[in-house]
Amino acid sequence: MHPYRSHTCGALRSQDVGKEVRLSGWVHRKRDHGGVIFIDLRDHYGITQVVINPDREFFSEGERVRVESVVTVTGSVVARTPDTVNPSMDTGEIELVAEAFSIESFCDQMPFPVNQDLEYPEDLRLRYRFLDLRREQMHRNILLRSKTAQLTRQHLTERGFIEYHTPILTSSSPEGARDYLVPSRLYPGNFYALPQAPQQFKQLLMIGGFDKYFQISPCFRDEDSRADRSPGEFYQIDMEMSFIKQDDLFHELEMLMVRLFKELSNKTIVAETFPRIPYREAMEKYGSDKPDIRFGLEMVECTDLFDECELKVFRNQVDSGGVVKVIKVEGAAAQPRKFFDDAEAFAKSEGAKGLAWIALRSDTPEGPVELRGPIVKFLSETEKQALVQRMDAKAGDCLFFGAGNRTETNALLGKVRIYLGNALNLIDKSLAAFCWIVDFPMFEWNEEEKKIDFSHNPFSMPQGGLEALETQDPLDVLAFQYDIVCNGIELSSGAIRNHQIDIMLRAFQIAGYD
Amino acid sequence: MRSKFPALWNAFHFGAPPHGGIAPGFDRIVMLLADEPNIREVIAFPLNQRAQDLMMGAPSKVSPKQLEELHLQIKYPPQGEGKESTG
Repeated sequence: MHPYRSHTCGALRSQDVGKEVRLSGWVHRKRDHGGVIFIDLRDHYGITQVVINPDREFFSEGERVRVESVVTVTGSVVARTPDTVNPSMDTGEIELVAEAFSIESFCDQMPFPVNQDLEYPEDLRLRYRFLDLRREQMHRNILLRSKTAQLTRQHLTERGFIEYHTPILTSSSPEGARDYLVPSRLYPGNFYALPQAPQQFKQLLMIGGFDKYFQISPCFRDEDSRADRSPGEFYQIDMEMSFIKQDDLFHELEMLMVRLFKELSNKTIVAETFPRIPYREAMEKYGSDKPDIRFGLEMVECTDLFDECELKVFRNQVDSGGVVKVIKVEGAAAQPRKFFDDAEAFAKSEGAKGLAWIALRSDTPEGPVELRGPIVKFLSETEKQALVQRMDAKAGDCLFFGAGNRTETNALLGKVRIYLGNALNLIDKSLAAFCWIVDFPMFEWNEEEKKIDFSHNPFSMPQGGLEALETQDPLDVLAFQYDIVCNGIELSSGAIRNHQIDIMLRAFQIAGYD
Repeated sequence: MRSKFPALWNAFHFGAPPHGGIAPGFDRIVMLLADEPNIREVIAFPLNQRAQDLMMGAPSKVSPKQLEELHLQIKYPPQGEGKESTG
């Protein structure tokens, strides 16, 4: 018999009863029941219950051994009595009655238990990550990560992609985030940089005559962390294709995402052909270029309804070129006063002066609709009617207003939209709602330096090519530049590249390069 | 552009095919698949939020010999401005 194991801790079933087996693993849990010791023995594959009877010479060792020590147990597989069968365990029909027991290595006092899901400070977990990884949840996550990588490779390989390796020591790139630098020993004062992405290399592979590139590539950026951004390094499924249009690439990525989410999650994909939302529309409707479209509550522009309004906060904004945007929340009129106060407090915490709202009520289902709320008295009958019509609002609905500078109002009301979605439980966590954000502007105005900058990747193809660059206001030129977003999380930017040197020169000229 | 992107500048003079691509974040995809709100829950050995590895003690000081080989001299920020190191 193998010195450590004949089976894993997740393998034994009732048909194995009577077999002599050997298991090794960690002491997950230990119980003393009237002189009999029960050990839940755990390895990567599962947990098996081990029984040590008091007449065994190693009984005291079993008594002494601490949880998370590593032990090897030899014995026979015995069927559990019907009242002790544990249907929630894969091995719950049997137990291993120990005939030999040895301790492979002892465990000190644990800094935190790993056999239960309690919250511990993250720094403590990270200092002892090798213990934290023993927890079922972390173990499952890391396995899922491996499966995701494996399925990605399998799928893309089936689709004709080839995996390449690109350098880790490369040159500092002048665009983008802050680089991690590696000093050169041989060339004093010179530095390598870790790649922020293999962007140039994948394009050079295409120019090198290859056709479909992919790499699950490490990327390094010296930027601050967020909940969805790990500081320092991350991995991306880097892809590049030759002789394609934007549609070809969208189709390819949709197939990959649908496969990953179907095979590796329980989420329902809202639409397998992801909706395409132009950048400007996304900003106007959702106040974000990474909208969570698992729920509605889109913003509607109502600026034109208030150009003669008595309410100064609206009128002044309209007069000075600002906007009035409105979100309709169906059925929210019945919410208690606290709901509106909380929503306003949230808006203020995000920098708003207030959050105007109107509730639509009627005493009977067919009765006349009455508008209520602090601002109603300032609105004329015409304005009220036009508003109700524009918003397609009915009794029971509630309207939230944002007024001010277009960009700021969109961003702010966009945050209110997410807040309301969460507060009213409108976000269905079982969904995966993908979308493409398309038609990003090629250039943007840099207010600080009073100049035109590239808004994203300088190597993206401007829509309309050279002619657009020559004839249009640069700030109106759109790029074949897109983002893919899922549930409000930006998964990636991408682009059809500019492969023509004359267009490239003109684009760089516009952005102030020589 | 010639000086900032020499490789691409050169390469585009020698027959570049029309091409395009994308690079979806792998950690973020796993985060969505796992339904984890925090990206560090799907990374075996992440840095913490202050960009430190408390387990390995990174970043850390290196020996004077290593600095010398790399022709580097450290100019420390005034007291209290830098972050405390882990190692």
